[in-house]
Amino acid sequence: MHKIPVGLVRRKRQRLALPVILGLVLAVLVLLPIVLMFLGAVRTGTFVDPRAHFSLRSVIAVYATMPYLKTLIVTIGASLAVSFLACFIGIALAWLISRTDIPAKAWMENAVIAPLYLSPFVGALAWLILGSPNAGLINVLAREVFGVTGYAINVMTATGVILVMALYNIPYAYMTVSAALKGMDPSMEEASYLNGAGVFSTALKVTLPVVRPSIISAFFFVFVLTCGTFSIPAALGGTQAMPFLAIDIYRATATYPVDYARAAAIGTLLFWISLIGVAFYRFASQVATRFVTVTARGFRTRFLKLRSWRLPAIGFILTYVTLAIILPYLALFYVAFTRFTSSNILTASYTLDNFRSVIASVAVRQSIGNTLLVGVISPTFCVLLGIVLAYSIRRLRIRGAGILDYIAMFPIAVPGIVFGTGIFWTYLMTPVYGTVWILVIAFVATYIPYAYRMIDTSIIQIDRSLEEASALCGASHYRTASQITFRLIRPSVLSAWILVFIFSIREISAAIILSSPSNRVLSVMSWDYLEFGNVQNAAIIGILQTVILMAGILVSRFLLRVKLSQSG
Amino acid sequence: MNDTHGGLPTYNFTRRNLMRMAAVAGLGAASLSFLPKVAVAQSSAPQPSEDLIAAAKTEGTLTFYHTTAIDPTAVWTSAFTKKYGITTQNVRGPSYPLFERWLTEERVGQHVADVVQITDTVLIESAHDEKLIADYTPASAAGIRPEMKKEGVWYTAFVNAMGIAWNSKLVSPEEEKLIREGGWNVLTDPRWKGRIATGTPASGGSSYSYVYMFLGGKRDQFGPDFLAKMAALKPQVYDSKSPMYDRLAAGEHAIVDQASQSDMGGFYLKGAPIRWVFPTPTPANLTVQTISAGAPHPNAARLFQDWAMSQEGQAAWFSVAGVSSAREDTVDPRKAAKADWYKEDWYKDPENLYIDYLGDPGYVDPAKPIIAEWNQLFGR
Repeated sequence: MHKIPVGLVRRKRQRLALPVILGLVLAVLVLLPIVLMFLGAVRTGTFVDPRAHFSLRSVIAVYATMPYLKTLIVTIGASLAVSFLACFIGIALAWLISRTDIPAKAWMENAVIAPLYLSPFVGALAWLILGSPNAGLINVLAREVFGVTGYAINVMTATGVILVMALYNIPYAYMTVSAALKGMDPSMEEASYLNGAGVFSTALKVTLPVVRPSIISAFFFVFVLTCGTFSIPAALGGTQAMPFLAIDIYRATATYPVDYARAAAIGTLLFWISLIGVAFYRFASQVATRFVTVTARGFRTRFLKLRSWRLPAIGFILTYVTLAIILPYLALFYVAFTRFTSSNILTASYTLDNFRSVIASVAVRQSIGNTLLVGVISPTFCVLLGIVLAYSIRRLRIRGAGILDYIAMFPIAVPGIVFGTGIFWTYLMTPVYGTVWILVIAFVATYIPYAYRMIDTSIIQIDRSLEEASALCGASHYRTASQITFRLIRPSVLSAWILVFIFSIREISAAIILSSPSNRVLSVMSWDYLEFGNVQNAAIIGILQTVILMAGILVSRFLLRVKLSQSG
Repeated sequence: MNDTHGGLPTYNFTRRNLMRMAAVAGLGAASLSFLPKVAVAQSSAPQPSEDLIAAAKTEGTLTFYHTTAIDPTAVWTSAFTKKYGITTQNVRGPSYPLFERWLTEERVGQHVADVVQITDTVLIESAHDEKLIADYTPASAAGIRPEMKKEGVWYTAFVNAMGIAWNSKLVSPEEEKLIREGGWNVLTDPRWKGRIATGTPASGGSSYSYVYMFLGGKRDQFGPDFLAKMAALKPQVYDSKSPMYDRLAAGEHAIVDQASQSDMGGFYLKGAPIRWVFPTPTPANLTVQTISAGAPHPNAARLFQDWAMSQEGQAAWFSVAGVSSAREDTVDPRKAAKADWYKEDWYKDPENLYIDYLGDPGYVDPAKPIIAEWNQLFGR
């Protein structure tokens, strides 16, 4: 008789335990809200509406009628345009900063990433103040000082919306490509120069092909993110500027008749589009990381001399910094100090009352506390789950690793406002409803793809020979993991933490849907103030968010010595 | 009617209208005709019982779902807190999603809200049919105008008249004269092309009530032709009115409609170059309050409702917003003192409020067909 050794059974059970647990966690965290979104699309009302029944009405309307299909095409086209622009500028910035002798590199890099500290929604508000056709500060200035007739810029058009969205996505493209450039062994480029190739042909024939996968992954990352953005197009004139699916979703949930089925149906449509984007992104980022770049060998980057291109290059970066940071913050500070928004900075009436009233507001104080709480807990849980997932999938090669990898990427494909609705239904009848914990759950679920992908990427980039050496020297599995693997991925773990921290502080769509008196966060306050109060207070809240983001990043940088741009 | 009417102008108290009001209020038409006088005659205001106050104080707090602007509401509720030591958690949301949210919470037994404020009485009555609303008649509510309450169910906290507002820096004196004297038709003048903004009726009860006058109640007078002319001017359409007023003050638009007294007053006090007029008839909208049947702080909710409907509560609202009261006996002291905008020669109270639509079948139709019609006209 064959007897299976006890040890083998135990090992088999252990091998099953981890994938089952991880599968369950992801099923509840990620799949359930998405399943509820699909179910919601075929109901005529909410899940608890006694009059609601099943119907394909909304799905048919969204998938097969002209207004939605037209909006779908515009959404895809505009998102592609945003990705193209953001990547083009992001790559140029990354190349300039990591490959040339441009001065003040650290400063430049900080400046390029700085738009991340501004909530895109508040950034759009700032651009509305700057660039609306009649009262935009830039247009008023152009008319009064330079005698321009009409307007110089108009952000309330399709072009305007695309440009503003591109502006706030450049940091993502920059970070992805810059990380690839920094990880690339420059000896390949040196060889090209030695063989007589010029700067451009080297960049085109050597550098670009090596970082191409990361460019593709940045492209689809921005594409997917843009498809689901509602705050920027909503702040810049809604569908009058440009039809956009995410605005249709918001409208279905915020205007009469409140139609969650329609919102969910549009959500499923966006889900399929984004899923295609995610597939490309996933494929590209896997190709990108096929190059093992963290090896025991060291290298030194030789910086290209810009010579006469130095000034134009600096000008290019400064223009970007002016448009993405300086002008928007000037606009926010200006508005924050005015009694009412005025298009004339000379005759505007200034006051400190707005600051006083915001700071004295109990609701604002509570929401600062909630924001800090959610902002620290969510990225911590998110990164921990990301480490467990990445290590189990990549190094332990557990069963069903491929499926887990796919599920962990799903939330990117779901627009925040729809995912928020799914989370609302998942947890409505549980004690976490209405507490800050529902936000923590929502943010961990929403941002697990980012944390997981960043950590996974850095694990792949570690040369296995380092871990094998440790094992050969007699170190246990655990010891190798803790002494070698986790040490080496530490920088990317910390950058993942910071990225999710930034996202959690700025997130607005899901937070609006899940907000209640005891869990209001600053992003919700800024939205509420813009929609039902005053722009002045919304601007102040936006500035407060920036202060919290910068403080959080400064503290973590000093404590943990990590840079956001070191991400893998 | 006469000047005893305080903050509110005269109504179109035709017999037909009164019948409609009676249908809404669930009261007999006969008793209605002299009720306003009764309200004025009340001298000593009825007070909430000592037991209620004590029970409310034990609860210590309440959650208020509201649709009025955030900061003025916080100031208003703090007057209640100051009087009774009961704190309020205010949650602001757009009428429809906020109401939908509350419905969902109640249906699954997640009781969060105590008092719910909304600008759409139709929805409240449907929730009442679903037994989600607590029957309560505040003692102070006797002073609320009869057509502005449904006894035991909802009570009007404020009445908001809506007119046309303009930015005085972007409008010539002739144009200003035109706006002040031209009535509603001024909104269809081609001169406003590219200079006008409006709000969608899908955003909430007040915008819906406003548009209802043009496409529903006064369809014979205005109707789709009127709005088609306005739509031809390609106005900027806002999903929410607050940002629209801000952009008017900033000078993005020269003229907007759906200009509510309370919001315009706020901008005026900040020194914004905003003026406004109430053409006749002037659509008005009721902001009403009700108590959730599942209120976790039922006594505090009742005491707050009592206070909100009282002369004192209504007067407290005057100090933060310039809307009319739902009570006969509460007058904005600024009006008597000719202070603030009341001193301006361009300002005039609305003369003929259009408010008797609450019982119209077209208005209460849950499908709200005029929204679809409006969307069609404005190419949404």
